[in-house]
Amino acid sequence: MYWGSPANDGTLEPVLVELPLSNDPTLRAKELLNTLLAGPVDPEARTLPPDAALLAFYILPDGTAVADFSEAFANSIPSGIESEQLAVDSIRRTLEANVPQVRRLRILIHGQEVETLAGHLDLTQAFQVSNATPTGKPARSGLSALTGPLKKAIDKARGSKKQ
Amino acid sequence: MGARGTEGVRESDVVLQFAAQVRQALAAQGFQVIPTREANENPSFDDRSARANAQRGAVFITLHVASTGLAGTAHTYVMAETPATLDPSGLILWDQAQAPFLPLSRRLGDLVQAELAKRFKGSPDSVQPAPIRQLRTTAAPAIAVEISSVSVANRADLDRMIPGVADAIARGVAAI
Repeated sequence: MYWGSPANDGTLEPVLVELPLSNDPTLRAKELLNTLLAGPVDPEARTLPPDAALLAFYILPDGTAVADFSEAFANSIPSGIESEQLAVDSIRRTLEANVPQVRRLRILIHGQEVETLAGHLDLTQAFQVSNATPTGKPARSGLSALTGPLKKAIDKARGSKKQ
Repeated sequence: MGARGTEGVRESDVVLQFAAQVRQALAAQGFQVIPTREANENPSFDDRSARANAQRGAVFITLHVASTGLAGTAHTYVMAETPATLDPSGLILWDQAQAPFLPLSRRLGDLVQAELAKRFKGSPDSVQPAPIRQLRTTAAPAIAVEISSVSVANRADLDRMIPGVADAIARGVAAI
């Protein structure tokens, strides 16, 4: 997962988190994005607003992923080039590291294309995620080794899907 | 209307003050400055670009104050690289207007950021790319300068940055 670096303001750092992930790239990406939204243990490292939700996610045949977020995603992001770029980059790099089928990323807000995220970053274009040819690597799986608060947040995000 | 700090500082108000001083500094270097807004009106991105694109030999500078970031620092951005499509008529597509000017934008951005880095400790040494909506449709060397931040406890801390930012921008533009 890519979250903000508390030591180095304005940059991202990779954090290794063990998660049970689906082999299906769409489900896998949703799980990852919901984990990003749930946030890191250190709230200072958060890149996405805590009240935002992922409404829909799908991957087109050409590898373009479309992530549809709730309005809170745009309304609650701190306005500014750096903070908006960090938000998008944390999504982009997390997908790049874990879902090789995703080659580009489009972001919608409540099903609509919007000009900017919070006044600055251009959301009308697709963001390049990967230049590599998708290899279809099998998903990593394993026991969850999340700390308590983060695991609770993810369980809450998944709560509506439980049988 | 942009960022707002916890102390009620509004980005739009601070930017107007920055812009006024940048305007003075550029005029002192012999440049004609055409603002895209004078008060609290909020022209669209396309309107602002259109204003710039109507000028010959212009450079475009958009000023911002961020909600976050290391206080007392300044960053310069240029449009992230995007593939340009050639129109058969030879016209530049509006949505890709910045593409032919990117090398000059980078050069301008590096010159300005080098000046900002001298004055504001903790600021990066060179320009950074970012997909900024305002820059994409601007057919001129174009940069965004963002100062951190509206979240300062004391508005005076931001105001103290104004002369240094204005001087850095003017020197960068003069150098290009």
